[in-house]
Amino acid sequence: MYDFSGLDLESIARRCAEETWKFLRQLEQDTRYCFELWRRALGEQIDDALRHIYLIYIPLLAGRARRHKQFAMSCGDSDYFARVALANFYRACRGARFTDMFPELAPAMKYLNACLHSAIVQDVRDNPPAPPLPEDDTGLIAPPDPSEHDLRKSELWAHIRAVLDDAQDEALSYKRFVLQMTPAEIMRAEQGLWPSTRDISVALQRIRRKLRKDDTLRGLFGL
Amino acid sequence: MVACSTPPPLSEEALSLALDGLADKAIQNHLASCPGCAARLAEMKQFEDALMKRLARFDCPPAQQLTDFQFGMLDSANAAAVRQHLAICPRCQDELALLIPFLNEEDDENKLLKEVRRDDAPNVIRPPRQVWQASEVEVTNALSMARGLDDETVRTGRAGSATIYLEAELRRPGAHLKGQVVDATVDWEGALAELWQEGVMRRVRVLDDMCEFTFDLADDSPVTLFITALSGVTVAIDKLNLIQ
Repeated sequence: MYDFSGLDLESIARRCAEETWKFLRQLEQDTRYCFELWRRALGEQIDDALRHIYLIYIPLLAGRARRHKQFAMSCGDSDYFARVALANFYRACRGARFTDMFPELAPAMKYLNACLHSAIVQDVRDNPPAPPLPEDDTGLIAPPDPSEHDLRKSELWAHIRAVLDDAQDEALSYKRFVLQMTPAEIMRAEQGLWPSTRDISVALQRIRRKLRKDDTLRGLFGL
Repeated sequence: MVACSTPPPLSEEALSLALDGLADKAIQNHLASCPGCAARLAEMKQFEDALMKRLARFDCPPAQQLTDFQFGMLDSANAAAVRQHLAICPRCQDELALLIPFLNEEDDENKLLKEVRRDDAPNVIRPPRQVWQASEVEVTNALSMARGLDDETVRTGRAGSATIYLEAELRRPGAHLKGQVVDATVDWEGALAELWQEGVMRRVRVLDDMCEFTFDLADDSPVTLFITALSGVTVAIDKLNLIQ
């Protein structure tokens, strides 16, 4: 392995930027400089190395984010996803873990791109298509609602299971209310189980009636 | 509840079909002409929407955890839990199915070049746009770093559910800036803090386990801070004047 100990950070960063330029133009490139820059940023946790990583890789990640299939469905901009990906990559790979996990640049970049994918799909997951926002909404991100805490949700689900008291109804409710699947999606996922989407809707009607009659749920949803 | 204006009223089964977008023409026509049945459908929909909003994918592992599973980075207990969930969750299966082709696109460098060139110059990054903008920000220079529970805590900035404490020490030349984010809702450990001056990103720091960060600045021109948590929430503290 090449000894980079004699090379100062600025030289490493400059070479990494040059090699990245070659990569973008499909020229032969030497990935060792970028790997060394990553190693110093994450392995040695040198802040100035992290700044160079930011400058070189945020634009790259932002460009890649725009090519993700779910990017158009997301609410974030590409630089935002790049930052979240980098933050998660740093969390997972900092310190000795970086060199333990990655012997060279390619697998590290693969995982970094996977972190980018995660940031985008999480955003799409968290922002399903919804009714238009009120006029006075400024578009700022609202703080998470403490009442939406996971524990509360799991308690609600446990209550629904108790109300239904039927394994099949529970399975169908899970698909409809938790996974938000339409009858058509449920039918595709459970091929042969349902004769038609209409049968699924009829089964759901029974479930809905049971749930709407439950006082706890009626109270919870203000009915 | 308004009575059906064109009896007989629609059955619950018919309303359920309407709720699922499966209503035939007769049901649709009835709903269009009958305020009573339309109101019953609206009430059902209100209940359904509330239920779905509360429960939406509540037990799905975070997307990053799915990725870590795919890369074999989870411990055995967490990996087993994700594997078990994946077996029953088409939504997570779909998300994971998108990952592999996305990673394989790496080889298609022409596309990448085109995208990067579109509006990004090398070594130029843009400030975040979707942020919690901090208000009531003032910098103390008393070096009495707030620790959240300290009685002498001085609140210096609020953004969303986060409170940001900052203190600056002017040096000649430059300045030393310390900060801490305290938040009961969002975890800020491991967040990335960017310090911008004069429209240029000058420094990056990672928030430690106390959610603290420090910057040494070459000059005391006004700073803008962006702090991005792992969850994606970004706090912005805009044009902070270090000289009070």
